[in-house]
Amino acid sequence: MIELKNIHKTWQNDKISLLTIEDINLSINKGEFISIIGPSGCGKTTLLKLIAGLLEPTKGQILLNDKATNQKSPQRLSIVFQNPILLPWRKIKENIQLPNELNNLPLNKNVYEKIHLVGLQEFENNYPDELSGGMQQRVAIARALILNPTLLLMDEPFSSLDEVNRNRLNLELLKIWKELRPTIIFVTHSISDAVFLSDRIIILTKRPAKVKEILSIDLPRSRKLEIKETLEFQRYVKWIRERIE
Amino acid sequence: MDKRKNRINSWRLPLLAFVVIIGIWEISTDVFNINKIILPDPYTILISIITNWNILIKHTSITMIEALFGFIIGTLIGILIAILFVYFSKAKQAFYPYAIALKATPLYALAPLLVMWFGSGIFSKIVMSALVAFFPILVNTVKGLTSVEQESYDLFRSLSASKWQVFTKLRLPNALPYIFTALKISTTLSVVGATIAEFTGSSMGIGHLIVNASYYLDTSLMFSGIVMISLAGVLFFYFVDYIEQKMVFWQKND
Ligand SMILES: Nc1ncnc2c1ncn2[C@@H]1O[C@H](COP(=O)(O)OP(=O)(O)OP(=O)(O)O)[C@@H](O)[C@H]1O
Ligand SMILES: [Mg+2]
Repeated sequence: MIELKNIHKTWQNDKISLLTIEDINLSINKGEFISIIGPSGCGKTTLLKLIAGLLEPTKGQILLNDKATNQKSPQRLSIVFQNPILLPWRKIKENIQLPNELNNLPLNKNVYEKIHLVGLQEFENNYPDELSGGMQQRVAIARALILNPTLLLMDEPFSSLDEVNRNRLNLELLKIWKELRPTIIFVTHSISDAVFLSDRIIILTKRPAKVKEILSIDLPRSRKLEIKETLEFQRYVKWIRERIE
Repeated sequence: MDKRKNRINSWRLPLLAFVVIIGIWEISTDVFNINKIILPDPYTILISIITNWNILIKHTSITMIEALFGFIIGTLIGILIAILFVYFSKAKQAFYPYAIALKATPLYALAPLLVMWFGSGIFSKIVMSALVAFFPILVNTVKGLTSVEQESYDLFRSLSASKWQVFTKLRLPNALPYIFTALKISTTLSVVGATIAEFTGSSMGIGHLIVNASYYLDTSLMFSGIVMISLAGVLFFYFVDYIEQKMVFWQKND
């Protein structure tokens, strides 16, 4: 369970002070799939980093399983950033091993399974700059899954992919989610992806980000791509689009 | 196959240029009847290299050993201080601006002073080499260690990496291309440093040989010395370049 209690974040340097997040209150259940949608630059990445404990809120408190994020929590947390952030001097396999390595786990634990999952078996011994942008992002996803996280934070992870691959990875993600049941917080620009994936969608206002709407998606689980053709699905999409514009 | 062809092709023009220049030089010294003391022709220089081969090798080796020691010492201290700067920002704030300034000054002017302080043996030459090699390494290593993207730090931090892990697995490899750029610059600088310090005062080394030959107006021997130390310097450069290609394989050379 994740709780955000009147979170504020102001970016401060010598010249400017920029209020980015204003009074966000949220509570996210264990195992829930949450999407966050909001205009560019409103503070979505900032919000994810706050939840990850990479940033301190200016005001307010974030609790992961009743513990503050700045305490070292037993919660295994992984982030997929907007950019893949691969280490160019490491082969694909070695990039995916990084979390194991940093946590002194057996290097190969889960590695081949995850390489398989993202369909990069043939490339495990290549270097990142030999892969396309979309493939690099898949490496980042495999790396994020290697520790079987209980909380997975994803910052527009598929925005560099074409629609076919995005759909494929959306389905993969749902499969992973069903198997491992991590809590997933998924930032996206794609309304359709958000509706397809989520239990709930959080719509943010433009900066400073506040919660504008929270929408529960009551589509049946075990969703297939065909669901996007249904009237109900399209009603959700339309409803969200109207709130954003 | 293609690659090899390319390499041969890329050598062909420079080689041609070399032959042409040497040819013009050889012919014009004859045509204009230039005094061999002013400018010996390439053939005479070649003969001088062959007849003085043993002496030349001996003095070149001495200079290269000085340069190499200076290079290694300058590199080690440079990297060490760069690491200190990165982790003690107060020290960096205080001294780094001077490092950048000194990198651009002709420190060779210190040579007479160094010879005065450390004697005319090889020690003063090593100090000179180390000093000129030091600053580029320091500045570039600081740049390399600090040019890591914020997101990479975030990634490591989200994986609860220790400071040591961040250093060895992120910052150091990130700095490697920067360090090698400086190493290549410093190969040349350290050889020049050693040679200039030898000019100022020494009883051996290629700088000593060149100065000595000038007293006897043996211009061919001077040129021989210049050719030898240049070749050694180029060899040194390409040796480091080779190691760079092995170690920094992920960086595309342009
Ligand atoms: N390190 C920083 N220092 C100062 N301001 C920052 C910093 N990072 C982000 N900001 C500011 O905070 C605001 C929100 O940024 P953020 O990256 O969270 O937006 P976003 O919603 O993720 O945008 P996008 O959809 O384009 O990724 C922006 O106006 C940005 O300029
Ligand atoms: Mg963002």
